[in-house]
Amino acid sequence: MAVPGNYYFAIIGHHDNPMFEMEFAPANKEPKKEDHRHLNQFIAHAALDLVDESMWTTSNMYLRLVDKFNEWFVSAFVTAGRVRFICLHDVKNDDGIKNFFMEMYETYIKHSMNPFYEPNSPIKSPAFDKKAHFYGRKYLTG
Amino acid sequence: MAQCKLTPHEYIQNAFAPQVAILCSEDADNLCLKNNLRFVELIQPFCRLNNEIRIADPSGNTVPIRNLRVVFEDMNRRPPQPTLGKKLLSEVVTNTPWDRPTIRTIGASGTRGALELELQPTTRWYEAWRDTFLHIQYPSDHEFTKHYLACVLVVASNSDSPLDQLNRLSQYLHQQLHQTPSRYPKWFSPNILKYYLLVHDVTVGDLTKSEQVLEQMSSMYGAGNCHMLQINSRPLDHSDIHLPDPWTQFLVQRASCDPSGGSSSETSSGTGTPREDVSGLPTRVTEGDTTDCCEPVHPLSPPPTTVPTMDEKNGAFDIMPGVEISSDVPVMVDRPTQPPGTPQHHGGCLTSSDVDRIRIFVHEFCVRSLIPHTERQIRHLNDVVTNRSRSKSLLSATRRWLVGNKSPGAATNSVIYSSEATELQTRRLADLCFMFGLYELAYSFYHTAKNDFKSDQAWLYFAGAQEMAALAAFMHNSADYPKRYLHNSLHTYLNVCKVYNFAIRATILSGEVLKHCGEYGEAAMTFIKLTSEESDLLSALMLEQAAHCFIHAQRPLPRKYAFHMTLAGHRYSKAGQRAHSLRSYKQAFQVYASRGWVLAEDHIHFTLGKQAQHLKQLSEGLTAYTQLVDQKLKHEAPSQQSPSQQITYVREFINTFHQYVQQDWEPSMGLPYLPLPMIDSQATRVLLGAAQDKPTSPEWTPASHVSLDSPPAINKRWFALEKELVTGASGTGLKTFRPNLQLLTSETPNTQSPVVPSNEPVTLEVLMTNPLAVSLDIADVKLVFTFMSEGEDGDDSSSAVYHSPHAGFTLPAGAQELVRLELLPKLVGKILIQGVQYKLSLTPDPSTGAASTSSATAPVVVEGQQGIKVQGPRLNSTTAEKCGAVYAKDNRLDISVLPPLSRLSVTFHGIPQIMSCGEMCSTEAIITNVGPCSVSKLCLAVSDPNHVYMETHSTLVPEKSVCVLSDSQSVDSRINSRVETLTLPDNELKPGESIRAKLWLHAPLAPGAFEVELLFYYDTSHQTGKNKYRLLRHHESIYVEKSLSLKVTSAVSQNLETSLTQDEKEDANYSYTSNLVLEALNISEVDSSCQSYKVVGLSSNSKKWAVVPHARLKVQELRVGESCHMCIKGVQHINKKKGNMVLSKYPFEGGQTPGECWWRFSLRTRVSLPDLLADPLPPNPTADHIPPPPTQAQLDTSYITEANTLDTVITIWWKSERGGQMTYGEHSVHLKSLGESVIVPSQMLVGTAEEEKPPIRIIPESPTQLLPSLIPPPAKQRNLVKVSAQFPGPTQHDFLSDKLCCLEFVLSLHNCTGCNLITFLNLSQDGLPASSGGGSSQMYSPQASTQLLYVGGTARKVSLPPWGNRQVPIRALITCPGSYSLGSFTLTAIRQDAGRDKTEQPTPQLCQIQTAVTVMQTTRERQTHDVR
Repeated sequence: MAVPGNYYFAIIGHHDNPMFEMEFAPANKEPKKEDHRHLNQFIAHAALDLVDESMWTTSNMYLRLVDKFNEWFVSAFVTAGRVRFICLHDVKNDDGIKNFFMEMYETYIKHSMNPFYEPNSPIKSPAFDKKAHFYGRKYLTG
Repeated sequence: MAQCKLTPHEYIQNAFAPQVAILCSEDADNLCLKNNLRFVELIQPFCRLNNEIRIADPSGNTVPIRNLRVVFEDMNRRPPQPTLGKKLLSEVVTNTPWDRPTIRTIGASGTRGALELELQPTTRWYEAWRDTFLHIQYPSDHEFTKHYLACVLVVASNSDSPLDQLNRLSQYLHQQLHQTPSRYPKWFSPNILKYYLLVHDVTVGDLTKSEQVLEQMSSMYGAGNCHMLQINSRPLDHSDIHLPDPWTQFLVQRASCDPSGGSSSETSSGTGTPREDVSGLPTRVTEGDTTDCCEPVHPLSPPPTTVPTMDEKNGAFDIMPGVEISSDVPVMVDRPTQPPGTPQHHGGCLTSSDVDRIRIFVHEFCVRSLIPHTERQIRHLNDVVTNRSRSKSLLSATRRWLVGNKSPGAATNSVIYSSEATELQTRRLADLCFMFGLYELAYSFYHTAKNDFKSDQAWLYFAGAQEMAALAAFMHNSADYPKRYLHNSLHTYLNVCKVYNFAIRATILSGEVLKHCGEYGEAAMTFIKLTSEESDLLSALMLEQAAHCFIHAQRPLPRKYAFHMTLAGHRYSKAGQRAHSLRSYKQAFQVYASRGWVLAEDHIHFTLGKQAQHLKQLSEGLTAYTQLVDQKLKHEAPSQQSPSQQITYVREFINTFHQYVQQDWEPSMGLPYLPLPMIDSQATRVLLGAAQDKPTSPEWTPASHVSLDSPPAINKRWFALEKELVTGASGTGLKTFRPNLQLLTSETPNTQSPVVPSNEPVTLEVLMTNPLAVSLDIADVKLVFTFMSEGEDGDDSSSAVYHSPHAGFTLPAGAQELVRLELLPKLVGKILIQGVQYKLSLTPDPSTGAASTSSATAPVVVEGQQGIKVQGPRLNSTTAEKCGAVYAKDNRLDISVLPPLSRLSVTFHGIPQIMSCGEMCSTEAIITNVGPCSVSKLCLAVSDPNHVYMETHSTLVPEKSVCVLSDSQSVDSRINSRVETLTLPDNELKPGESIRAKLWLHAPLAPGAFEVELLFYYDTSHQTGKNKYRLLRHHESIYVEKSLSLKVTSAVSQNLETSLTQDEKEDANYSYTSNLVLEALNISEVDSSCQSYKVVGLSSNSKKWAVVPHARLKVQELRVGESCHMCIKGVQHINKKKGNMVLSKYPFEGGQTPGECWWRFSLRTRVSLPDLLADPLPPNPTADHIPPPPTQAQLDTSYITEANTLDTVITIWWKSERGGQMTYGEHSVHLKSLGESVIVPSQMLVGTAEEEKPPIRIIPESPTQLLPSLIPPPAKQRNLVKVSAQFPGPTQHDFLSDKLCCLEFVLSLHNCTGCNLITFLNLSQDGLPASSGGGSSQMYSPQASTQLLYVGGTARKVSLPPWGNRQVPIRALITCPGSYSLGSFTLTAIRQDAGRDKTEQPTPQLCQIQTAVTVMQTTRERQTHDVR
């Protein structure tokens, strides 16, 4: 299911604020240069406009491809609470991303039930980080 | 809204305006130059016809044309070469000013998604670029809109022979017309309209002569084609500036094209035309260097021979080659730039009638000549097209059929049409119609042409026709037009023909069209399609337009807008358009700001900083860099940049800061503010006054006082102590207590500004944190403060306050540093601390420094300051404070300096670090007045008076075993405050004098830390309301280890004895005794410093009890785990006075008292002060009332309680040895009631029986009584009656003779209380009068023996008067000899009044009289008694 490629995953809160970010690169390749990390943020942020538009057109949480910029595809997922999951990827991997989103959704729900976690604030839990890393390897980069 | 000035219709009309060439003689131009204008420029503002004119279409219908604009161009003008063109475009974008951005709310205002954005209302640089772009396009062969329709030949009337000149110009024009078609200029058709104009200078020329010339011209060229224009009616010298100047706006645009115009006239000079010397740039003439008319050609302008290139053949030259325009090569180097603000005035010689004449000329030209000419042309072409198409249609149809309908694929532009080809004629006709507003007609012709071109696979021609067809349809009816035509043509231009210029033009036009139709998304896509790697300026402009499309769509897409603005800014920056880049980034940033996209923000800030720095907008650059390095607002999202990136940021920041300070900063404003390192203002601490002086001898330790180094003090405790002190010292309760603070932190109440006497230092501690992963160097840290002297002018703050700066330190990545700065005020006044100033630099990296020692210059050091702003805690008492966020004032940085005050210094000698539980020790203390004023009152508060005591002179107790302490001697047992006043010799401590005192410490019985908190209070001679006293703290923490545990059990003795009295005869009352059992256990740890303890004596103090040993007790040594038991007797001691205390002591053999002060601690054991932090008790509302006389019940209660009260402190003394030193200690136990067992330390109370608690009832069984009964519960009503028996001795009885032996004795009942009691004595054990079921259920006889029976009244009711005795005779019968326990019997006592109170139940008191009686059989032989 996993297709090696570069992925960038972000959870975006209600005020367009990133709550969680993570990059996935194929295991055998060295990670991308740091210089372009801001581009991921730019693309993900710009895609929010299209996410906000297309989420009203479907009853699914998974919105599939919503945007494209140069070599990057942008897939999105909107939770019931309107928290948006954005995934940038440079390879097609519809099933993997969908599964990844579903798993992350569950992880996120569990995390948000923590009474000490303030909604919409950055997620700093190492456990969440580990989970995201695990699912990223399982479904995205392989 | 990025609105264009023109509507799309106007714009398209303008873009395809008919072109007219101007061929102007030198004389005529010179005439015009009096106005600083060339002829072409002179008529430029008037080439739009404001009135409506009509034109007839081929079928003869007239169609109105509104606002027809005719473009007059110099015939010799050539579009610039690609490189030059790029420069022109770039310059136009640079030079166009832009409007102030306006604020617009995106999204529904008030909702979460609402965004307030500053948007550019217009994009004038884009419009200017667009106009220039179209203007510099080469005319192409596949379309005719750029081809000259007509030519105006201009001569001056004052030249030698205007007609000759006209003739020469005509010849030149003829030459140009009939050259090879690939050359410039391009003509619409060989048969163009020629128009002849005579310019007449009114001031110089002769009008009649000119009219004659005009007549000759008319006769030669036809009256309709000739015109005379009279200008320059105003003399040159007095030029009135106040006339409107309509030329300026055109010249700005035009100026960019001038050099090429000039160069092309050079080109034509070789051909010997009459215009050879019309080469000077007109704008130069009046700019100062006017003499230099033969201005050299622009060095970058194309050489004459290269004008026609291969690209021009198909009208496409690539303006996007890989050549970059570097921004620092000034474009148009030799063009003198006009100084802004002093615009050159044009048209100085023109009166308004002259202007009107120009208008008339243009109108005449259009209406009289151009329109009829066009109509003729249209008719002619229409004929040609219709005739030929008829003949051709069959052919083309066949071809179409054979070839099939091919789409523009990979085909090439192989088709070349001759200029007279039908297809081109159709196109020509269509263009003509389009230019003159016959859009419907134009559309049909374009459509025909398009299909023809398509079948011929002439893709460029096809794309052009298709584009124009769409535009024509749009112009005719904007609602319905073939949208796909535009798309297709754009696609063909871009992908098939690869002619970018036309693609750009198509994009510009279709963008306008789409925006007009509201399809912003489509428009944005069109713009984005045109971005490419090659041309940065174009990409930037297109991206920016796309961004504006996103934000102006019906549903705005602000985030897309922001992204594309960022991209545009990036491309602008690459194109060298720094100002535009800065603007774009700034506008984009509004969307990203403070949302946590840190990487994106950092990128934007860094670019902003770089661009602003290059543009010399240092303050703006500094702001951007400050945002990069400032981490104050980024708690939620810390920087994610790598350390190397952060170093770059910090370095850039420091450099910019350095430049900024050098260039823009005014030193009078103080130092600029630095964002690094972070200063936590709230963590700032202020220490007032100096630390205690170090004593000379090392054995003495100074009082700890307050210092910045000590762990944070528990302020609440010290404040509570201080409050007690102040209350005690002033003698009255304080309404508002405000602690006198010496160390001010964020925890202390800082609403009052602190005070410090002069000549005592103020130390400020500032917390600096480095939030970055970069090491920073900080040097020369100083305080920024102002000093206002009291009364006098306080300008000499340098001498009034001595300030010692901090030398500096290195702050590694992520580190914190506490910087201490000291001020020493010398004069009375006020110090206001505002912040700190310091020098900041990057720590030079040792690794890079070693690698490149040559380049490793000293890092840039900048000096700046940071303010310290403190605020108090948030208030939350009033409604206003609850609703808003109101913070208390915090004045800790606003320090008042007072005149010098007295100052105490306290030193201690030998405070132990370790003690055993209960150990006592004394240390010496010296209290010295080191201040300049004398002290008249000295008080001390200790937090734990049970264990700490300070005395200036010792008091001894009488050496009697039992002594009664007088009221004053026993004051220790009644202390109710922690404050004591230390007596001073002569009631004053003069400066330099000192007193000695002894500090007694008694380690608490619980192991752990023993916190000794001493707070000295002394008054100052300062008379003003503030600061009447000063304080000195000492805090000592002593480790206390386990030693002994002591368990004391009291038991009631039934014995009655006459009491011990001072005066034996005074009152021989009955007294009561109790038995006390003591158990001392060594519980010390194996590794503790004291191993064995010796119990050396005991003591007690009570209101009436004294201890008497049963036997002689010896000193007992207890090793670890060993215990000893002692039994002593407590005897009541009649004590008359209420305040007196009975102190008894009993040193064991060989033991002694543990020091002088033991009895004080022993007495203080019974004191338990309310907790230091406990709230003061609310004033008792009945305190003021005279209590009513006690009721009988109350009295009884007190009697009952008293009978059970012991209230005695039992103390044992012990001694031990630690490291060769003898240590003494005592353990005290406070027994409150009889029968109680108490163990210290109290946590040993594990195995002892706890009082059983009743089951918890959720629903109360009976309604709670509102007024609970005062009488203690039955369980507490014990020991009311003492029973003693006067037993008979051993008796002999002859059982053989008499089977029954009758014993008679007397039970003595004694009422211990002062109330009347009714006592039930039940000897038979069954049938208690009150408890019915209790006795009957017993299956066995509780009697000791069945052979002993009480006879007579076995159940009796005896009433006892207060303290009264009753003798109850008892008789018992025994049946056989033996020893008999007299057994137990039940005694029930109840108050006489209890019958009224139903709730009171008497409790049976099981009295076991531990006495046996022996009855022996009388021996008949020898009747002997044996007593046992």
